Order: sequence, then C-alpha cells, then structure tokens
Amino acid sequence: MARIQYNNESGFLGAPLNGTDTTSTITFGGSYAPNFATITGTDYIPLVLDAGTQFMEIVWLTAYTAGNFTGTITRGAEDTAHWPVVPHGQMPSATGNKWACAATTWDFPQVSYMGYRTTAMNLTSSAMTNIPIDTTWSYSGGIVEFLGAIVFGTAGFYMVEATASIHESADGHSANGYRYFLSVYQTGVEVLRGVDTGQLADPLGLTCSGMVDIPVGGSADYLSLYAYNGYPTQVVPINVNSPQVNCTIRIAQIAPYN
Amino acid sequence: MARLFYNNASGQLGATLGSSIGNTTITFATVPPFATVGSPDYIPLMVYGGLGTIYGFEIVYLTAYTAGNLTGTVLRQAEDSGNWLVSPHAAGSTWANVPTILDKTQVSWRGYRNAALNLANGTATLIPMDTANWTTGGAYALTISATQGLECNLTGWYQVNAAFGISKAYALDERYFASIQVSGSEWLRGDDRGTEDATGPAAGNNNDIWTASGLVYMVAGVDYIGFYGYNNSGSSSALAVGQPFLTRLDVTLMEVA
Repeated sequence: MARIQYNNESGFLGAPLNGTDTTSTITFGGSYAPNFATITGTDYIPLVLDAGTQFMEIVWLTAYTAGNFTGTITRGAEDTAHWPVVPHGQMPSATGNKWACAATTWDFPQVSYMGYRTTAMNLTSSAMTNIPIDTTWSYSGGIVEFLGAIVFGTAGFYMVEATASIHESADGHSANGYRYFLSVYQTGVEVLRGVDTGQLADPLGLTCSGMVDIPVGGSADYLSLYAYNGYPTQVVPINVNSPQVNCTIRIAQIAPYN
Repeated sequence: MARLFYNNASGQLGATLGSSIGNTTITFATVPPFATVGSPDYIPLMVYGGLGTIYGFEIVYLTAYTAGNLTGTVLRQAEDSGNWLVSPHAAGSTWANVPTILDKTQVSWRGYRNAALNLANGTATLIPMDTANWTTGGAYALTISATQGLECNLTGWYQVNAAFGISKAYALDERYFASIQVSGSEWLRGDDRGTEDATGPAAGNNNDIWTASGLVYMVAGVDYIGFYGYNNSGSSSALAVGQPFLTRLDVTLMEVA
C-alpha cells in the first residue's frame, strides 16, 4: 500500500456526492483530467473535499485510470470524528465543491511510546523469556501497552529501541560470561535481535534496535520484548532498579504506512 | 546542504521569470523575509498563477540570495519535472516557500541476508543484502546493488541500523565488528569486541550478533551504503543468515537535504 501524493493537483467536482455512501464514484470537473497516474494495487491518493468549509471531508481515491474524469473513492477515510461523510454539491460554485490533493494530519505523525518494567522477574535458564512492560512513561498517537505488549493504533514504519539489564551474578557467583541478548518480537515472531553479549559485568546491559513495519493498526500487530538467558543451570533476574533506564522499550513512528 | 523554510513567506513576482531554463534571476515584488542564502543551502519556492492552475506551476530553488534584496538566483524546474516543467511566469505571479511532496517522501528499506556468505579473515567484507522486507520511496527508493550495497537516489540524512551474526564454533575473544561505509569510506563502526562464549554457537538462538547504527548523509546518484563485517578471528567465518533478525540492514530517510 502506498500513499501517493502530487504537487499542485486540485479542481472542482463534476458531479455531486451524497452524504451516505462508504464508497462513491468521484467525477472530476473541468476540461482537464487530474494529472494522476493509474492507481495500482492497494495504492491510494488522499483527496480533501471542500477544504476550509464546514463540509470538509477526506477521501481516498483507490481506483483511477490515467486520463479519466472519474474514479472510485473511499468516503470518510480519515479523521471522521471531526469530518464525517457529508454531501458535496457541484460547480458552479464560487466558494466550494473543490477537491485537492493535499497533506492531512495523517502526513505528520506524532506517534510514540516509551515504557518500562518495574516488577521483578527472572529469565528462564537457556531460553527466551518474554519481559512484559508494566509501566507506560509516555505515549501518543494510539500506541498503548496491553498485557505487557505494545499495540499500535496506526499502521506505519517504526523505529524501536529497547534496553534491559540483568544481574548475572545473582546466584552469588561472580559474573560468568554466559551469553545473553535482547530481542523484539512482532506478533510472536522475532524481528530484531541485539548484541549477543556475555561480558563479565554485573549488572549487564543489553540493547536492541532497528526498524519494524506495522502493516495493520489495532490489535493485529504487537511488539513484545524478549531476552535470552544462556546460563545453563540458573535463572537470572532482570535489574529493575532505575527501570526507565534499565528495562525499556521506546518506539517512534518514522512514517505512516505508505 | 540544508533545505530552508520560513513561515508565512510568499508574495508576487516583481518581473517576468522567463520560459528558458537559463532564466535564473528571480525578482520579488517586495523584499522576502529570507536571510542570505548560499551554496549548498537553498530555499524551495513554488511559483504559480494560483491553486488549480494547469499551466505555470513550477518548483524552483533559490540558491543565491542576499538578505534585503529584491532579486536572487534560482534553479529552474528543480523538482517533479516529470509533471511540471520550466514555464514562463509573468510579473504578479505568486511565489511561496512551502513544503512539496519531496518533503514527505518516505524512503525506507529493510532486508536481510539469506544466502550463505563467509567473512574472510583479517579484513572487512561487504555483506550484500539479498532479501528485502520492504522498499518504499518510488523513484527515490534505495537501489539494491550486489557490488555496492544500497544506492542513494534522494539526497538527505538516513538512519542506518545493521547487524550480522556469526555461525561457527569459535574460541574465546575472536574479534569482529560491524561497519557502515558511505561510498567506500567508513562512516559508522559498531562495538568492537571478541566472542565471549568458548563453547561456540549451537543451533537456534546461539548466533552471536554484532551491530552498528547511526546517521549518515548521502547524495543522490553519488553515494551508496555498504554494510561490512570485519573478521579477525584467525579463520574465515560463516555469517548467520536466513532470518530477518540475524544479518540484517535497514536504512530510512530522516530528512531531505
């Protein structure tokens, strides 16, 4: 799916649109067809109807053949709480019934999440263990913690950074040099793995970072934090002192899912 | 290079801007609120007769301007020339310093190494990615190259995250590191460390990982990113491949220059 946008594309409607449909045929008015290429696959072009008026509506042009004066639109495609499906008249009108390919708030994502774990827990010996996040530090744009995982309200490309710290010598032995690493799972599948380290330190810090794509907002996709404990005979506790430093996940949307 | 923007900067032309690509002097009707501009910085300007005008729309770059002046030098048809070619603009036409679709171009690539590859001992080896998880950016998308890595098609600052895994039975303290090169010059180096586990990797989760990440600047049509793995273990080392979380690379445009 790609969100396609053009410079300097706007005009008037050639036929009215009702205020009830979820999908409509849009008719572009005037003597010139829009300068859009044929839309393929799941790509779409966001259009704003009657911008600057109380009848503003954002629609997605989902089917269009280059040179044509009609296409298929999804009605009420964005921000329907403020701007639901409404009727649109047609020219001649000096003040309204205009369409424009323009940026919307969708194009300026401010979607981020920072959370951490404050509750003590152990990493199972010789296994990957889920580290549920239990405290949200900040969030915006619909990302929330749910049952220890991070759920997304908006599809997009996200930068993820995670940290964890473990007490490697919690059993009373000196740091042992066994191997540990931190991973990020997307909907149950490992997608990012951090440095695999067993350096002789206590506490031992682990990090993991990279980009992930979340193709569907809502509960379809979620991220979870995991750590691997390579100590063959011993569980290892997570270090939850200063949890906002030591056991965190930080996520920011870089771009909407285009 | 910086792409400069000002709030509420628009006006009219004080003289005709001709139809030739060589007509590079722009004349403002009133003094714009710009500070002095010089290479490599520029200010993108849309010049047009009004929204919805079929002809006469053009994006130019103000590349040379002295604060307080009524004239400056522009690069004609600087963007989107497939749709909007150089065209004449009469005195009184509108100019505006506003974002264009270039400012929200989403260039991102992520992929991983699927085919087997060895890191030669005593040197840094290019790790070409051979499987894409995603590619975005249309005409500006990064281009995968087996010999260079990822080639840049839009000038700007890019966030890079890379990792490789080693899959071999190794001894303690064998040295590796991950490195990002831009056009053949090392730009980012990750943690330089030896292996810690003398027992070596077993199956499944036991592929040791090295990472490198940071920001790089690349010029379209000139620069490319190469992801390298340095091996000083004493022998050739096989990469851990075949999974998106093992030997991987992601590159994302953060800001257009």
